[in-house]
Amino acid sequence: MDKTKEQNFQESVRLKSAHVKETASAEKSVPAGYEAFQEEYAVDNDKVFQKTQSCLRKKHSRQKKKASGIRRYFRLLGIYARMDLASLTRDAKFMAIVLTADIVSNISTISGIFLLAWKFGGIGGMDRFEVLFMLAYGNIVMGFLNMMGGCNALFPSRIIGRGQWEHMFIMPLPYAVQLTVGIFPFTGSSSLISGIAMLAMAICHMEAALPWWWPGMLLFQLIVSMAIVTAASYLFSSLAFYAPIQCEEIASTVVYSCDHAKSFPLSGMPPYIRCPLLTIFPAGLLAWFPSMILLGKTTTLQNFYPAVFALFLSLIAAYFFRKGFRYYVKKGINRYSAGGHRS
Amino acid sequence: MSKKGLTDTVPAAIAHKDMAVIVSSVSKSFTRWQRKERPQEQGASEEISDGASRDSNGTSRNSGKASRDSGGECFLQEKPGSRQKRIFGKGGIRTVFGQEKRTVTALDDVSFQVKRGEFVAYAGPNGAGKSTTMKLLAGMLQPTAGSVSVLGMSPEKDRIRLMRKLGVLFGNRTELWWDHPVIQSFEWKKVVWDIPEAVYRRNLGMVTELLDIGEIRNTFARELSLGQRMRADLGMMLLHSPEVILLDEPTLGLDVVAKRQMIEFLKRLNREEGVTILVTSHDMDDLEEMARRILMISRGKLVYDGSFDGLRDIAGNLTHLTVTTDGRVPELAGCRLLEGKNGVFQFEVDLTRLPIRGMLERLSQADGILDIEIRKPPIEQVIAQLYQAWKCDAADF
Repeated sequence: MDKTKEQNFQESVRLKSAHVKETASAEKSVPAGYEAFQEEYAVDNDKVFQKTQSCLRKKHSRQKKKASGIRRYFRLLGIYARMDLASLTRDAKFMAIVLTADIVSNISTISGIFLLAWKFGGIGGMDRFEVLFMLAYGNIVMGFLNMMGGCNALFPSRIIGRGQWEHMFIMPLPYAVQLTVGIFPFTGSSSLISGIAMLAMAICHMEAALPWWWPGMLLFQLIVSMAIVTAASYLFSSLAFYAPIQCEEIASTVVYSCDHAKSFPLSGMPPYIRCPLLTIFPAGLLAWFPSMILLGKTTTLQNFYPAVFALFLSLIAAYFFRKGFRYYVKKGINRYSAGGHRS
Repeated sequence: MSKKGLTDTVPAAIAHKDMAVIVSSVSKSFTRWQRKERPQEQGASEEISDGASRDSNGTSRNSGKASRDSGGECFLQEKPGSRQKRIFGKGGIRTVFGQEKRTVTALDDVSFQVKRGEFVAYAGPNGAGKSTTMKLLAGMLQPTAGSVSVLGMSPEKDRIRLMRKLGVLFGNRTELWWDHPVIQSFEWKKVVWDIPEAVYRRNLGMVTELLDIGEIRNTFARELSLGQRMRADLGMMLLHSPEVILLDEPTLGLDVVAKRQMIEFLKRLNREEGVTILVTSHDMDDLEEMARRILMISRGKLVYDGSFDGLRDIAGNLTHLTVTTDGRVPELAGCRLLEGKNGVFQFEVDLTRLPIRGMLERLSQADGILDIEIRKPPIEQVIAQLYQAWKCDAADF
């Protein structure tokens, strides 16, 4: 069988080379108008050359554009970061108050659960440091979103309800870029920093050895959890396109309620409490369920659930947000709140 | 001056090439929820007044549907089942909560063109559709019908490309960062609009000098007065060298000095840089000083496109004559006395009927004249007349 294949291959190679030779000899034996032919051929060659050059140029300029786009994105992040730093450091007293308030608020949100876990040696099958890990995970998720969600990017219903999308219309940037560059790395990162510190502490105290791919898995789960919060916020915010006054704060209600509910370990809970918290009100997917995955306490099939849910929710949110946006640009909004501009 | 638009005179071949703004057959309608207008239930009130009969004590008799108490207050006396009917039936809860969807036409088949380098005023009474037009041009709204093009680009499809060349300023909102110094907002704009360093430096120098914002550059936006904020906003808008500027009520709330400063700056910008400017304002004197062409809109329809003098022609172009006397009322045949107080008399005269020479002759024959002043009718007054006329037309219609 193999021999026949090889023979066939050799035969086809022979035929091809013969065809090339024939074509070459035919080209050589053009008797009349050979010069004209050659000229034409030469012109064609030039054309091909030019085309190739222009393609390369286009490709090069595309690459250049991409690179400059990335550079510009970082410049945008930089200017927002600089403005945030300027805002924080304008007054030493103000800076001290902001930082202290942030630290106190972060500690208070997690201390109750952690003290309970400490007292009883864990909650619902999770030991103390696993609970700490879960709390840290939740803090990182919300901390990162708070840091990135400056200019109300995490609460689009505020932008819509206050009529401030009109400021976004006149900026020469895609909306996605406008929503993602407004970072507050100095005033909005305390939760993230405390989350990272707690995570390090929890990992140090965990007995099980972590595989090499575990950090990648952690990063993936963090992204998935953030996508779920963001999608939920955008899904509900799409209502603000239709009822701007009533729904101005709907995104903050959704996000903060998820934020508050995420800290409770659901391990010991009955299914009728656990299921809603993993589906219609997905607070369980912001810390508890991903932590169970990362701690290896779920089945392989369950490991995919948060990612599938995030994808599903994101698609729904994107559909409804676009629909609402189309309505907005058609109908307009008779509301503008100057006091809340970019705050 | 005809009512025809100035744009009609532009040859069709070059019309589109030279145009900064093209609005063709644009309509924009909104749906608004509003309380259902319920017809006054006259029958019911008649029943109340007719049916109410008093006995000697002033209390109602049993047959009455309504009666008056001794204090004179009117109250209803229920028939069995009528209370339910009133609450849930016609005129009850159903009507109180009954809302209807109404389509409001903000712009109705509006078409106009603005040439590059033109300074155009866009005026109209409250709710005429000025801001809607501005929002359509800035891409904040999409037209229900028709098309809008600014610098040959669609505000909807080429938003990003267009915004690099378009400057938008709404008087009642600011682009400045509230909790940052003005210069910080300028630097932010430089990065967001990707303004080259040399262009930024040049424009920053220009706006600092011409708008006199050197002193407020380092002040926080929230600490600025309205006039200062407007100047800073205008300066910020110009940093990226826009080719077309849309200004919605830029002189709103400004004092005389700040207004003058802004008007002078805009005129200079248009004259020296060739920037196309479309401006709306309720202050018609300001508009006349700035622009040479005025587009007037009323109830969503473009009702005038031409010069300010043309507008005066439509309103009758009656010249105003102020005569100061020693107290005597001057007898001026052919002039209509508008008002007179403390020896100052206002007349209105049609110079097409009574030429200026004839009028001066009559003035010279009058006794006790101390001073005279002849001037065009104030544009505010002309426009007020027109608004009133349009309002009456609409009511008749």
